[in-house]
Amino acid sequence: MSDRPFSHIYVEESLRDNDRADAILKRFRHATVIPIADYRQLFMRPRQEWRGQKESQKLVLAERKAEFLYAGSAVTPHFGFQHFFYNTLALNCLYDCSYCYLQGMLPSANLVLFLNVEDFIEAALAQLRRTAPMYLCLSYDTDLLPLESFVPYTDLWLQVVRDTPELTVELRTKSAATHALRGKTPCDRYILAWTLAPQIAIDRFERRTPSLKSRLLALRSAIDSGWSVRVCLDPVLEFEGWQAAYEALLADLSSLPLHLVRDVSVGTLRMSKEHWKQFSRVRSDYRDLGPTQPQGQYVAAPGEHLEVVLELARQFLPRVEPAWTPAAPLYMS
Amino acid sequence: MLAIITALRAEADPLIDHFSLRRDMARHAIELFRSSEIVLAVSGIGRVRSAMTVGALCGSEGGIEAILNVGIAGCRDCADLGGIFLINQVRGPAGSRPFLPDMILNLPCTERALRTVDTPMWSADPTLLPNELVDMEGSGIGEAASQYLAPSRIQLLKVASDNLERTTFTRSSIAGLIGSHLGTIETCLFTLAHLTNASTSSLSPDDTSILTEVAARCSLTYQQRKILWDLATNHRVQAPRSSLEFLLTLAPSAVHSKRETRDVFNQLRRSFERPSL
Repeated sequence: MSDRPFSHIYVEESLRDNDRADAILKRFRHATVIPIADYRQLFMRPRQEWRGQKESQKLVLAERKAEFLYAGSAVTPHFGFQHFFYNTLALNCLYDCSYCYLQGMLPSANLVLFLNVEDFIEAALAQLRRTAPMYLCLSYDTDLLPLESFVPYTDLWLQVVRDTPELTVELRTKSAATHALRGKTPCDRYILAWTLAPQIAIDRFERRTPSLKSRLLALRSAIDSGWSVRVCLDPVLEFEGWQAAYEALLADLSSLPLHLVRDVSVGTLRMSKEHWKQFSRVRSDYRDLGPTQPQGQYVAAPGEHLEVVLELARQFLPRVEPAWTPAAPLYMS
Repeated sequence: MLAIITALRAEADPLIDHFSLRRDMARHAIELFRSSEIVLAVSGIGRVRSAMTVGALCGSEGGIEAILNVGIAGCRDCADLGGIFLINQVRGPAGSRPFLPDMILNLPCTERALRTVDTPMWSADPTLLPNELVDMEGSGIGEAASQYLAPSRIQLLKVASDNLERTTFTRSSIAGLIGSHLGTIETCLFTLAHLTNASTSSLSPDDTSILTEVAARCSLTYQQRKILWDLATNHRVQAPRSSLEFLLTLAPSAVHSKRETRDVFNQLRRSFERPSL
């Protein structure tokens, strides 16, 4: 398997003279550049080997032609907003988390970056004119913050949010790359949401992600700079010693100025049955993620350990809400 | 089972010898040679024949896990005539789908794009010729094999044979071109075989990288690599936290004879028997 990042970059022919594409290609001079007509020729093929591709991930630079906005999923928290949407500025991410639902949803593990960000912005603003106020997740089928040096996604959207009072966005991340936000003036409606897990879970289930310590430092730095910050313990996984590990994590968290944290979201592993079917084919080690059971249209971890973590979290943290419960998904629009 | 497809018998001959393949007399429609792990088919020239051969192999053989197309190709601007290239994209005639093999095998091989044409191509004016390598089968194999296999399991190796000038080839000149790259072809086949087992293997990417380096340094044969991988897998199951780095200390930077390869291989093999590991 290739050990250099992005040994190959596939570029849609329509991006031949695109400044963003050129800047990325300059950064990865060692990469073999392969022109393609449409990213779907490469990305949407059947029978691709997800794990093999993840070990030798390729970069695909593309323009999204349609579907710039999706309605939020029932298993994702809406945080009280009636109009909840997400977009897909990128598909897949640099990290390799064992529990990632994209393994069951996308046919390829290659990283696709859509460079026509302005089309996504236009679509969001058009929707906003019909359904305001709007809550938009930017980093939904990806993790955008570590990609900021490739394409300034977060910066471009920060400008939009600042100029659009009815728009609230969430940028969920495991990244510690807060330098991308340095010098930027925070906006209350631009929520930086960090997914945290005990270090033992990071080592075991979140390959290539920053350590807990780095994430906490990044979170602290964002709070200190005045950003609106959300803490996500999602998914809470059930592994040997999980309860003690989460207790230790919550104790670490309680050393932060939690009164400045906007809210805390806690959830368990859950996935649609359709995605789970493919996911369990891709991940032969899926049983390591703890017990799961069918719950309606979903496959999810039994809720008992979530209850324990919620109980613990409420002792330490303000405004804790479960991201999803099997019986009644919260914040459904 | 790994499948090799060549267009010409002359391209197949050195592979038949090297992998000790035997003619399958039970099959008449395709010229077929096989061992317990490899099946080689001589398709004949052209996209249609090569695609039909893929269909026949995957449809009737069963258990084909990967396909490697090996053959010669023309090359307008190729300074390295006689060199071997791993193909990273295949364009066929208008109307056919481009084929993009998944480049997840880390092979010590220069990459090129391939253009597949339906009639032999040459021109007195080189500017009228395509920049890619040119052959007459790649697109047919890629497109047909995609119906059965993952794009990572369909790979093409082409030896640059001419500058797209009118050239007369003899059976022995073609065999010579292919025969001079048997090591690369064997490595590619082995990597494909390993890929087919990767989903069930307990070896980590680091383990694989160490084993690949050791195999390359020692010029291990297909069978020797297979044995080494099996030993390492057993070792990993018994000692999940130990490293395979001890193999690197046993492998010399290069070997100069088959005998030396055999000696080093035996040493590597014995190293797994040490109780201290």
